[in-house]
Amino acid sequence: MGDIFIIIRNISVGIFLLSGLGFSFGIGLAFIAKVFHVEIDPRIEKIIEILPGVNCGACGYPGCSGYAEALVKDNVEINLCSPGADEVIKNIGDILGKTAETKLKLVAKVFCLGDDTVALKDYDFNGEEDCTTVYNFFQGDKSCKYGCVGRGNCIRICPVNAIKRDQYNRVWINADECIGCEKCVSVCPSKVIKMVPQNGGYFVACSSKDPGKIVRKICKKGCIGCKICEKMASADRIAVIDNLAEVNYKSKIDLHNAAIKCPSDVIVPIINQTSFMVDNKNNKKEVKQDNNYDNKSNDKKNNTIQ
Amino acid sequence: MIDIKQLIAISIGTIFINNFVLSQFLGLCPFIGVSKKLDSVMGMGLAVTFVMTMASLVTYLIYHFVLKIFEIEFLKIVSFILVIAALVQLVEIVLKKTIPVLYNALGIYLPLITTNCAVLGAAVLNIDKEYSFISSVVHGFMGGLSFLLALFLMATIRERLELADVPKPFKGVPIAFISAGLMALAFLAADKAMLSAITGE
Repeated sequence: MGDIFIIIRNISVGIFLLSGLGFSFGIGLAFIAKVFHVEIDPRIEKIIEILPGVNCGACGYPGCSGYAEALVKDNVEINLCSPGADEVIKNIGDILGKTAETKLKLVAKVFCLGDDTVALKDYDFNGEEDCTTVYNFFQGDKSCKYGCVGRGNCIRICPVNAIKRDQYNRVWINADECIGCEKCVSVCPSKVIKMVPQNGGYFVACSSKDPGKIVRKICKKGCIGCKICEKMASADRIAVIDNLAEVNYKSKIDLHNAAIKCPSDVIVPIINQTSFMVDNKNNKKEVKQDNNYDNKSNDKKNNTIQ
Repeated sequence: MIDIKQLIAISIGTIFINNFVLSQFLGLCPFIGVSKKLDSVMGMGLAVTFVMTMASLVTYLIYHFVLKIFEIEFLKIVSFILVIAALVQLVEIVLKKTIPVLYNALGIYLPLITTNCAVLGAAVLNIDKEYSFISSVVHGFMGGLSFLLALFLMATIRERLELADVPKPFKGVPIAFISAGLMALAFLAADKAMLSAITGE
């Protein structure tokens, strides 16, 4: 008989105490929440919604929420978001009551055309397929030490998948899809990715400062510093410094003829760089994609297309 | 009052021998979920340590000054869950206002570990092993550190597994579990009997 009383007593004390505890915690938390309430400017929320949400950091702030806070609290410029472009600038301007110009749209390009069919390799690498790892071994497995390592760190980090790679380890960036966040620039160990203006026309897809004689031996698509481009356009527009041609984007001279006459075909268009042939309709500069090139690393390890 | 020998035994024991994740298999959900990148590991590990320490503290008090007095010790698991959940909410609210920097660093992880079995496990183990107050708190703290250690090791391994040539059916979570199992085997190497004999724990 006494047992039943104990059971009933236990149950009732348990229910009473636990509900009491829960109730008091609830009230306590509600009270604390009121006391420790944090005021958030509603404009910050609105701005976060219109920002692209890529969290790339191109604006210089930690993520889109960081930029939104800086805009409202510190009154920074409203045109720092490069993925956002005009639409976002206009929307932010509407909320904050400011206007600004679009900044010049910069896109990333890979300054190297040295894939497995055109570039000589120094050694076979059988480790992690990671650019930094391969680069640590004598600056990459290609003979050209300025070139793209081809393992795709940039591809993995691109937030919009604008970087492509094919089975020959050719890496290129689609300028239309690039949002200019510059993540690929910082992750590339050999620093062959650089920013160029989207409307710059052409760029020299090579980073090799080796003299022409050496470049001819180790890569079919390297700049040899012959200066033919300088003669076709002008030295103001494209100049050879340290055996490497560089385009000056402040000048607007057309580089089409220089691109056609370049003996290595390294002057390629910024937009529509899907193939490496310079204007098939116009000209005969067709690049042979043959595997007969004397390439020491001939085993195709089935690199997956990213 | 403060038995240094027992505290040291608890510390070494919890981190290496009875590792919360690799030996006692608690807290596997955030262990697999948050260990993909090394950056989030520190935030998660510190958040868990923080919550475990506070939970050990509060649940000890609740057990000895409420449950025992009213003789309803059998309600310990339910009441611990209630108390831990309320405690984490309280911490999050206070942290957001007082130390925003800390909140930005580990605030997002706090809801994830509210009723994590690792936190509850630490609280219940304190009671089962009949630790004193200081020992309970230290046990909670070291439990959090053991979680941090396991998480750190796992994240470094998983980052390399991302780039390795793993067979397609195993990519991602399956190979992570296999690695975790191998790590658990490695931690078995810590000889419990030997260390128990030395410290008398």
